Amino acid sequence: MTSGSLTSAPFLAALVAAAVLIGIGLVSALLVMRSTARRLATARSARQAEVRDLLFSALMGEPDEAVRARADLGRRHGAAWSVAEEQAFGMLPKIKGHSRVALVQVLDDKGAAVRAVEKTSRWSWVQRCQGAYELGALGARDGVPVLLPMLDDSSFVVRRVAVRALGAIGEPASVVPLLQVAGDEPRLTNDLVFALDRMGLAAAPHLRAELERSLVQRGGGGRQAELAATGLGLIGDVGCGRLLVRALDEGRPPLQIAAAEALGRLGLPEGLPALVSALDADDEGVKIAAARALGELAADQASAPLARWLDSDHHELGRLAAASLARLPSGGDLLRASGSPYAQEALAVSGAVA
Amino acid sequence: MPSDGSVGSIASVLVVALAAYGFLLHAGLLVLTASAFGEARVYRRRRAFAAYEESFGDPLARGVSLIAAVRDRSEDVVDLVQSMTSLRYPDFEIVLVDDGSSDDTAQTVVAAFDLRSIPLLSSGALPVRAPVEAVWTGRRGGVSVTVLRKAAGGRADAWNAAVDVARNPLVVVVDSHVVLDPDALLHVARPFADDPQRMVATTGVVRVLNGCSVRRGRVTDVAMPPTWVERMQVLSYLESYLVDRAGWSALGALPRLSGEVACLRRDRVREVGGWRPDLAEPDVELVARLHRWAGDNARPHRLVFVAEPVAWAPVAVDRPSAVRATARADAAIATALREQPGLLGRPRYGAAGVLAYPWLALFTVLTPVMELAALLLSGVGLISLAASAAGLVVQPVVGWSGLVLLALAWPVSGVLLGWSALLVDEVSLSRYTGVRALVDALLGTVLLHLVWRWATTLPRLRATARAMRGGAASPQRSEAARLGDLGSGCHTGESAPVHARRR
Repeated sequence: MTSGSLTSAPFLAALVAAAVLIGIGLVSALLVMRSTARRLATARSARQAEVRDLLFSALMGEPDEAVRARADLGRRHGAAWSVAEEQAFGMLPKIKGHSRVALVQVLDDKGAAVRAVEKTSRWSWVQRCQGAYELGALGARDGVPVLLPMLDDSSFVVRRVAVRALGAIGEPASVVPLLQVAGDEPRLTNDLVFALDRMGLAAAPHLRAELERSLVQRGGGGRQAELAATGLGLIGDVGCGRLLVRALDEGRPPLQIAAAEALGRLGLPEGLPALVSALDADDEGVKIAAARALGELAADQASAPLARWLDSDHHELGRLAAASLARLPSGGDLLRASGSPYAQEALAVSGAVA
Repeated sequence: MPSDGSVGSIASVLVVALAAYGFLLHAGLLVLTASAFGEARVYRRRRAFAAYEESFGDPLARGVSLIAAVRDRSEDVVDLVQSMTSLRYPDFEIVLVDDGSSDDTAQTVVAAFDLRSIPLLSSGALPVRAPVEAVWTGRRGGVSVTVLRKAAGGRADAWNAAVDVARNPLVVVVDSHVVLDPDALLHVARPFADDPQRMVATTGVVRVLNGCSVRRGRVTDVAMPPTWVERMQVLSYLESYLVDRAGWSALGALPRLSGEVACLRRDRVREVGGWRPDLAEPDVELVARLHRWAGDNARPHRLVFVAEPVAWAPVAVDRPSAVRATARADAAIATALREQPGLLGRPRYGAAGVLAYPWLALFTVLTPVMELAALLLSGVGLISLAASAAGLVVQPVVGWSGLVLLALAWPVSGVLLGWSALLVDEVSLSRYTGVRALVDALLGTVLLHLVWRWATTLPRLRATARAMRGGAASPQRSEAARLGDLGSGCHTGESAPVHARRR
């Protein structure tokens, strides 16, 4: 294309016309969106308020009110029911006990579980997410076989929602597949933690078995073993102290760190000797995790080993040892007696300055 | 096109070259807008399932050290720290650096929060040029507050000193003039939980505070600012965040964070040596060094823009200050390119090396030159057209067709792009309501590309040239100018500009 053709009248006219059309299109779209946004939001709020009242009546109203409200909900179809269903699923994670059972019953009566299963095989990842989320919210154990294959879904968001949904259902048999998927994909660690937290102590036998298996078969490591150790600490399995101590003694550094953190979180005194030994580990991360865990145990027996690090050249460890000492019953006196700058900082941060 | 011998031929070639550059520039920005639009749409749909609201209770959330540098802020520094302590995040500390105040800024905080003097605990891992004179620390509720008083050394020096004493694995550096969104820390730290191994730095949407209502350190009502200078900066911020940063982030090549709020891994900041205290505009250069370090050490890394509002920043209310702020942004990019030329076009540095930095070199550093040329050529063309109409010359140097082509390539394309950015904002994060505000924004976009862009061409050119030569103002002088521009009748005791309404 020559410079002449670029500045020819027909070409320029076409460009100007295109610019004007695009401009009109953009301005029109913006004006329409802005002017209708508030009206649409108001209408949506009104619809939601009506459905919310109905749902509350169905769950918590007087018996005759509840019957009427459920009948009203039962008569809803199409878009009217979609609004109600969306709102009901939004409420499910926030309610417990009888109300939750009643709401699940309302949703079941309208075939929500069947629709959720159907959504999990849709092409759209948004639909699959929605299906997985709804199965988790309903908490039905027969949702587990549908959700487990979704841990291999091509979409990360779907995998994430499936992990959380399995946690919400709380079927302990899903612990091992969850550890596997989060072991392969570190991005799912927080979601695994959420899931294990929802399962609670029911997950403990599987987590212990996984940790033991890893210690025997994998020579003291593996990401799944780390996750199992972390999980045991988070769900509060106070019976797993000996296993965690073994992981701290025999594991590779990442597992040692996870075990030390779990021992600290559980506050198990039986972990004290192993944690004190770990202060002399070769790996810096293990030392730091042990120092932090000793502070969480708040046992005075840890004061002398921690105090050794107050004059260390190791900035992080010196600081952490001082912070941990500040949490010990006799730590304040030790810190006051020390000339270490880390001690003075720890006292100031903990508000323990005399 | 009319021509008058060799002058006319040269002019016509120049017109076509400048128009081609303008079209390419805006086409590239349109690609960024489209990718930003796609990313915003996916983010919105994903948000419903991402359990972001559960981040607050996350037992594995990484601790954050919130860092801010202040100077001569004794009047409102207590409000500032108090508003920081009320942010929502499970585990964070505040590190405030008094960077050479001539008033009693540090002492005011120390007294208000009952802090205790402690020895300086420096690891020596980061360069700090101006000495730290005193350190205090203490606790307010569940939040630890540390104050460093040091000689004036500029933002980079202050941030390095703060990162050196910070205790948490993530550091969030904030401009002390911004009003943070209550969930800002949750938003910028969330990607680190999602991708803990690769994530290196994040930033979020920063909007203009002027015109908004502020109550107890929180933005309670959003409105367009009253003057056109401020409104144009609103739109400039919009394009800068929702087109530039969001677009590059979607392409995996984010070349700059935000001078107002940025979250970084502390160990990575230490590994690359922190911010360069000898540079007047160190922000973008640090990001370039992070990309370079990751590429040289074959470390997978990600820098991410989060499509969530994190802060409200005051902008200058007068024209000269606003012009200087615009020029400083370009100078920061030029500084990064001067200091890290090895990033350009190298596949080792990923999309940032192949796409983002070459783009910045070609279409940010060079743009003021092209704008000036287009401006001069248009001026000459208009004069010669007038002379031709008056019969003084036979044929104009640049005819109407050339002028129309230049107009289409520059201001018209710019306006259409700006309106596209408004559309992205409307479907993603728009906080402004009402048709009146939209009309203001539409007109502001026209002014931005028809007037403001050309009014700032020369200052941007000068600042870019100075930065490329390495002759920018010293960090201390640059910082003083930056604070002066914001402080020119801009602040009140509630950390909000006068054009933000206090309640």
